[in-house]
Amino acid sequence: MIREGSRGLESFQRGWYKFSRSKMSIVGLCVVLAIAILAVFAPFVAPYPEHVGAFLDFSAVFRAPSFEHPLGTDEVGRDVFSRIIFGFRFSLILGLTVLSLVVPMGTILGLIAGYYKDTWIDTIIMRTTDTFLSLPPLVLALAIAAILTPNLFNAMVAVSLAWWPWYCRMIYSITSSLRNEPYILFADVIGAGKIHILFREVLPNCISILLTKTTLDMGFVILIGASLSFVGLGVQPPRPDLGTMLANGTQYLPEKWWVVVFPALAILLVVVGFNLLGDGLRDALGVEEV
Amino acid sequence: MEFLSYLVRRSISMIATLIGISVLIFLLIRVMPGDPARLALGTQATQDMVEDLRQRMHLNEPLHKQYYYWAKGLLQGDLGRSLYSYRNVTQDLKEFFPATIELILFAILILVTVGLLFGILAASYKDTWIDGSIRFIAYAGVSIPYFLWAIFLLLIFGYFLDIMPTGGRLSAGVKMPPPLTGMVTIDALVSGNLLTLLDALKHLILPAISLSTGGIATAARVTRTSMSDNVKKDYIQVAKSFNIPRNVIMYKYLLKPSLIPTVALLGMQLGVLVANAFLVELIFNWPGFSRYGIGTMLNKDLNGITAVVLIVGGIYVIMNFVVDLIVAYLDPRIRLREA
Amino acid sequence: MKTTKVVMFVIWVLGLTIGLSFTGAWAQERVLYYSVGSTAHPDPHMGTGYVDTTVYINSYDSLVRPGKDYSVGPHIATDWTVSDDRLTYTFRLRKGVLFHDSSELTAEDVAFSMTRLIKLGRGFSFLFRDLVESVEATDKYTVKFKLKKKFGPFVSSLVRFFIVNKQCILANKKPGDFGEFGDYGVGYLMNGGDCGSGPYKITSFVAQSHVHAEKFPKYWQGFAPNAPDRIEQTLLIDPTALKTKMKLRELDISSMWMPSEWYADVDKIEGIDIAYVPTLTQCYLQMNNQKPPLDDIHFRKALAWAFDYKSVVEHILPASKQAVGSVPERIAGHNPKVLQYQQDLKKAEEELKSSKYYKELRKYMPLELVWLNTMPAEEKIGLLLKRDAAKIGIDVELIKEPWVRIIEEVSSINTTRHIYAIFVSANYPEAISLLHTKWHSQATGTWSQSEWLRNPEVDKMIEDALSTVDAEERINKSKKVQEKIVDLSPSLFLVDQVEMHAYQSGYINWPKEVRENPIMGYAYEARLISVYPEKREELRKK
Repeated sequence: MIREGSRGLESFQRGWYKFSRSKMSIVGLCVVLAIAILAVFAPFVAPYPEHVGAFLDFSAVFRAPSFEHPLGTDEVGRDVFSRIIFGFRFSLILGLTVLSLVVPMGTILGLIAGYYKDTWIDTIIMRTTDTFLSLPPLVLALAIAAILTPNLFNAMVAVSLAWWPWYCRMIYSITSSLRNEPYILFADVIGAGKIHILFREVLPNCISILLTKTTLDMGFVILIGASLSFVGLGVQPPRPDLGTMLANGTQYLPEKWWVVVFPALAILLVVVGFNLLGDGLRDALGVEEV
Repeated sequence: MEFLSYLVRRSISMIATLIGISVLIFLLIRVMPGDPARLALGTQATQDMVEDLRQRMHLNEPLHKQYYYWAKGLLQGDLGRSLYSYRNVTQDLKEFFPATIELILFAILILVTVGLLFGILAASYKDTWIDGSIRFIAYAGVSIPYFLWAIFLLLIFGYFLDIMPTGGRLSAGVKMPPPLTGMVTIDALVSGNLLTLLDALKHLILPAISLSTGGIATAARVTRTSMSDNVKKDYIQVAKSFNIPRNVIMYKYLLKPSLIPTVALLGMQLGVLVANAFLVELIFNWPGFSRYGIGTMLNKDLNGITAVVLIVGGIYVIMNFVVDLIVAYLDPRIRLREA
Repeated sequence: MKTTKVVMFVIWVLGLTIGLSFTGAWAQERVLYYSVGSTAHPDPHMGTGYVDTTVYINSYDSLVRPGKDYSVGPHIATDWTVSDDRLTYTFRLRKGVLFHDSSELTAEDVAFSMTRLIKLGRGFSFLFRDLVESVEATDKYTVKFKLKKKFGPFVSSLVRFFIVNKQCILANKKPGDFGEFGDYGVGYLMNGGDCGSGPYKITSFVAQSHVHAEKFPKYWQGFAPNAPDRIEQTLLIDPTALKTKMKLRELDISSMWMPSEWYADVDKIEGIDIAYVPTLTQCYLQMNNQKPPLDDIHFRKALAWAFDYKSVVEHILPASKQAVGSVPERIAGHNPKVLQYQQDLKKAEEELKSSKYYKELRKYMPLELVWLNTMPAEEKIGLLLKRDAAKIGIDVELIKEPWVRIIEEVSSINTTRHIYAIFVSANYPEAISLLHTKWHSQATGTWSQSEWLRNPEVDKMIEDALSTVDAEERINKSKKVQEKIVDLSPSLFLVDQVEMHAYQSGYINWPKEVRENPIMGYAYEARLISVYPEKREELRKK
């Protein structure tokens, strides 16, 4: 037991060493941490937290960036800077919620399907997965969002339904290739329960790829939200979701550029941050197939 | 022989998946709240008229029967009539589909050239500032949504600089070439109409670039990763130890196998492009299939949505199939693994 | 090898750049380009929307047209008489009106068209379906309509009735559900066919894309000098693309669906002005009168006193005017003497206190206000109500919905939410038209009445007015209806809508009388608009 522990610490240290060698990965980590901090402390950091709700001030409409409003105001007089900070919080929540639904669901299904490979369980699960995979995520999300009432919750449902198959397939391929490894067969022979095998033996091998893919996906989930908003489905105003702010702001280009440019930069920051982090993880953990 | 059996296996699973999609779409559409007949006829229609239309659309019959009617029509090439435009969906599709294909082909062309280029550069100069900045540019490409690229490009080249057309496939006054494929560039080329060809290309550039941005990033990243992974492989080490020049190693031994994941990626990208094309088509007023698709979704045009989602799904599935075949052909391990 | 790739790339880019230097021949033709916000139904008996009407008034003719002083005047019909029992209308037709295939428009075409409209059951058929018993061509230039019941505004309602070429329809019919008439030619017309007599003949139609038409020189009414030889209507909804096209002089008249800031920005461009087109449309905050707490008149009045009407006119919908009563000022039969609410929070609180729900407000909060996702102005209106209602303790929640969902919700009383921000138009240019569309029980379940008013007295008053054939009497009666409605305070009456269109004043002449025609679609009567392509070129070069 002690040996396992120290082995764990050792591999963490090794991983960290590899990770920290790449400057870009450190940059990614810092960006993500910064965003996370802003998101958590949003009500304290944002200068005008009340602008996040239903606020209206006709006298302050479309003010260009100034000292009072460093990133300007939008079409009903709300401070863009505050909304972007809360937007980070909101977009992160969106991403985390979707992924925390999608990852367990996809992983569990993938584990089961992989373990029972070539049985009817496998066929059902993977055929369903393939069917969902056959539709590009945006199309599926759009179709679902068009059916349901456009609001945040349903947008998340739509994106989740479009996203889970990727995880399932990924875990499936790992599980099914590991299935025939000696130590798995050995565990089975000595009577270890299926659940034990799946969660204690197979799953740890998936962690690195899961981690990598999840960080990479954060950005994409936010972007799909933006595309949904652009068409009018998705997050409801006055919620400050970065994607929605971006989509709404495009109507006022090029004169009122600040309502678009700043949310776009914010999204850029989030996506680049998570991508650099994800790439760094992959390089450090030696993951191949993402 | 193995290849043949692989082909057969994959074909069967592809057909199964296509059927699966059709069922999925069908259920999805029927689950929709709102009476499609009432929506089509408008709020002023009487209940009788609505009932009448419901009968004709078989809406009152059990689901599996409705699926049967629809499937039967599908196999006969009839996708039903759009309740919204009152035309046959098949006709709408024939009209709009080539435009989107054209756009996507050009987007892929740009995507492949630029993406590969970036990927190779990034891999060659891995972990230097070149690598970092290429990755950064690539990520910028991916993190700015397609519609924003389209708008920015339109503003820069249309609004401010006025050197590119702002929409449509051809300038006013330029005649469409004879409709051989429906793709203006190819038709113009084939019929020898070079001026039309140039005009059409001009109209294609901005939308195609907007559409390719996301794919460039992904292609670059995948190429970079797979090249840098393969660099560690034994045979490369051996080649290095024989003092074979770096360039030769790069292109003769490294590039080809590294392309496998990129090819696989392209197949997926095609589906993504078809889906995202509507954002670009909306802005550039490109009379394409994706914009039409969005119209059907926003108007709850039953037959239209079903057809569109089926087609997009179908493309995706077929492309995956083709890509799998190519990859299996190139890489024997995969064929054998699935055996 | 890498250099080869780079070189190839550069050549590719260069090649395209060379292609750039070829500017496509910008036609020096006299063409009018305008943008619309939704797809058209080119068959005049199928559509009811704004875009549809712009197509119909250019490509088809009607018996009567809106005339001076909010009334209707002769068009294809030169004059008409009503029988003593008020049930038979006889119209005499103009001679020598030609269809686009050069055949003459006769009474038979008129009779055929009305029958077709009613049988198809789409478009504006609802205006005539329960009304017209028979229509007959008594001779070549005379048409007789027999009505089932007395209907005062019958002639006014005929502005929505367009005449199609009988021979053309029959020649192009396909198999369909109408017996000997097959599909009644709907397939042909909805795919870009043309069976009209109007000043412009439809040449091309692509759903969700465009409608093109070319000048029909034999049109009986003639053209303004320099009227366009072609008109091209394109579906363009992206504000950036529209703005760019206006700047590059590729678009002559914009649609009215842009946010108000867009017009202010475009106005700054040289040679572009904003046209203000009045309408017969009013913006309402429709309250569900059957849903507590809105079923209590004091509660409704409290909201009416709390709302900030001035801000809507000043900030949200500039150029509009605050509504006086429940029909727009510009419509025949408007009653100027009804109460006009102004924001008065004290009065609002008083009303709220006398409401039976005053003690238990919490139980019924929040009120849901639904706004249309394509109308950013409505969001601002919603925020306005939210802000001011909060001042008297009423909590309002804003919900953004697409049109199809709104239609669905209001079709049943159980799913209708508290408040909907909706713009409603009159179908024909008389107050009673809008009063009927909005307040009669027949209209419940449609988007124009989410109030579920169901007031039998109002119903009777409206029906009475409708069956009054004498115009003056009818107008007096509709004024009384308006008084009653304002008393009942079923909804908030916000503003009379004034559309904004950006247009190229630098090279087109859009006469004031034409563009200030409030009847839906008539501002786009292309034959009265002059286009100067030389001036367009000049402005383009700048």
